[in-house]
Amino acid sequence: MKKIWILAVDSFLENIWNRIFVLVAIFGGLLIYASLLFGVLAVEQELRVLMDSGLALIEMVTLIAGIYFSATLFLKEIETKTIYLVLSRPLSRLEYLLGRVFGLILSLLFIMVSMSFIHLILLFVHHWSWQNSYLWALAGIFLKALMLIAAAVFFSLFSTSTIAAIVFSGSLWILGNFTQEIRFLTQKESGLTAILSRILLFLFPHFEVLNWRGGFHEAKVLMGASYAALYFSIFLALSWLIFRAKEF
Amino acid sequence: MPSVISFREATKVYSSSHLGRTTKKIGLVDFSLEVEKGEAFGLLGLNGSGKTTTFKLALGLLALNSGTVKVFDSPPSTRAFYSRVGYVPELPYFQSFLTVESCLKFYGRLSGLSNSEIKTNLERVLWETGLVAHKEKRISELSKGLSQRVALAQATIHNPDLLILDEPMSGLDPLAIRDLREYLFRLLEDGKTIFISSHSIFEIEKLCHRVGVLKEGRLIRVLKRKDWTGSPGGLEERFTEIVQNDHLTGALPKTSPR
Amino acid sequence: MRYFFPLFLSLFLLNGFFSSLEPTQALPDFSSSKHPVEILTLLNLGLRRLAADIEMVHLLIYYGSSEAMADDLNPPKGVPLYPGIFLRAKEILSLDPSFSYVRLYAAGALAFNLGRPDEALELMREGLILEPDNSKYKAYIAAIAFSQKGDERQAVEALGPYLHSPKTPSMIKNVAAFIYLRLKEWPQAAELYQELLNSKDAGYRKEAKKMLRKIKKRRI
Repeated sequence: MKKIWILAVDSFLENIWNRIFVLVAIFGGLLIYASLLFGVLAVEQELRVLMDSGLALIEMVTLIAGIYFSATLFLKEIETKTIYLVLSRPLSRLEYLLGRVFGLILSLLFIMVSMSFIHLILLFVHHWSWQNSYLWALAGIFLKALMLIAAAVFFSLFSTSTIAAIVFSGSLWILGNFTQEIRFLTQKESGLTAILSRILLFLFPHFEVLNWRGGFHEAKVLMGASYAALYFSIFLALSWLIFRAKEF
Repeated sequence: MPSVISFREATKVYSSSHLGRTTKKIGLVDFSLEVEKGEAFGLLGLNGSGKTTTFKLALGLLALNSGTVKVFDSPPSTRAFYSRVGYVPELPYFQSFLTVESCLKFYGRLSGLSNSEIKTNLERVLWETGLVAHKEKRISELSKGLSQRVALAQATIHNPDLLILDEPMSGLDPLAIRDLREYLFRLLEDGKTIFISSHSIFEIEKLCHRVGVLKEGRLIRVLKRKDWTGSPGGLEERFTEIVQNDHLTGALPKTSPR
Repeated sequence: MRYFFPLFLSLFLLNGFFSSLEPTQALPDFSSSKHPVEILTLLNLGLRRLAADIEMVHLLIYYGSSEAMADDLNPPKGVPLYPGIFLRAKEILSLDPSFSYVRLYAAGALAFNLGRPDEALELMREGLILEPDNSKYKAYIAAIAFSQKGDERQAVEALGPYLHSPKTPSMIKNVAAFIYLRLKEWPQAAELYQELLNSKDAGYRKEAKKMLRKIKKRRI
């Protein structure tokens, strides 16, 4: 565990140094501009719009950063051969994989906390009162990010191409937002369309189970968290199967 | 003398597939070698002769197709010996945001050193590799020579018994090469084993007790120090003669790969 | 490699199981939207609520702006004023059916300002189907029905306590205050204009200030 933590902190620091501050600064600027604009235009729904636009930006930045960092992490280490200096040490490939993935997770948490901090300041300035549903909304976004980073890590190791990993993970992100409508198709349509729609439901993730903006509902939260945990674990296991046999 | 690294008929063939076509490239063929404890063993060969492949097989970064490799009597898959090995790859790369000190601490921790051991060992390797004045600098600010010193420092911070050095003198100026050579001599005096490759035959000649000559994945000759010290042209002449007179082709081994 | 197949199979079965727990949703209808690419992009990113918010802002600009499209202020014969309000509201509500502000705002505008109670009632009925216990929606339907019959007093009284709720659109309060003025119910009108002084809409705040001065001097 100690070595996993050492690698995780190293990954986190590398991400902090390189990119995250730029992302957070850009987000902060975007949010301030969005709030000024929406405040004027949305009039009586200013708070709702500020809440939704802030959470949307937090989600987009977290997921984009997560997919990008995940897709490039291992391939960059292999390309620059920094991986040699770590794998020639007394730690297993599993420890290495887990360490780097947890470092990614720490980086995403940092992004989310920083952006939420800026968002909450703006909300409080606009006379918003704290609601726990805010934390649940963030939790749902974080779990969605976990699912996508596990998939992106797998695709990067499987395809050995950053672009392919980003494209596949990005596709999962987009298609995972349409599964409710695909279910609608399976019920309304028949024949080949219904069959294909049903197959798609098995292929794509279901992000709606992680939409917790309505607040805490025990069954929904348990269901979503279990789904995300299992999805993450399966993709991590697949990544390990590839990584343990990989040659450098 | 007990052997630290042992290769027995090791074969490594690289396969790559593209659009249904598979191409094979020889890494090593029927490679047998024993590196003894306390010796400096040099690998010489033209580009693509299999030097880096040899090191990577010893470290478990590559898998053999057939044959065996053991380091301290254990195969790389068991990961039993890694705390006793220090490795400097060809063209090492470090995270640019780290300082020299934080970089060495990172690798020290990964090697299993405690905080007090890191503190002691860090002072030692910084002094031995001439990095004391540069310990606060970021990796991105370092010259090629200083980066190479950092590479050596990270390989020795955990006081390993075996050093595997792939072209450690690449890109260094003459003074840096001299300092590195002296450091390696000190390590040999401390009983370390060194397994090194270099294009600088002059340095290998000075440092090594034995030298293996690789050509197209085959170990075509192992020379002892006495084989080149008497010769007028030294190791360079012997190497050139061996490589030019060898008639073996790069055919794939007859034994079926694993 | 022998573990690959069972793991992939587990993934597929996991997705299949959880798809059965997800609610079904029809693709939102944004055929009437002026910004379909924007909406589709947001839907692709799973940002339905934000898409609804942006369309709501477009709706407010459309209805609330004095620079509204020339066609809408001077429609051809037979075409109502602001013909797009109903379809735009339906589109927003297909993106976010729980967006009650848009439902009430659009229904209020249609029923009390634009004389299109049938469209207003359709919006409110759809709201009741989704939230059968929503007494606010029931009150609005009653108010619209009374307004259709020309009974303005009953219309404003049907809204009851919801009229003074901070979540009630300022437009509805303004319409109700104006009705009270016509009925010469000065205290009730003044109470609503007093609330409108706290409205986030500068136009309504200005109007409320002006009307309160007039009520005080009874120059109406």
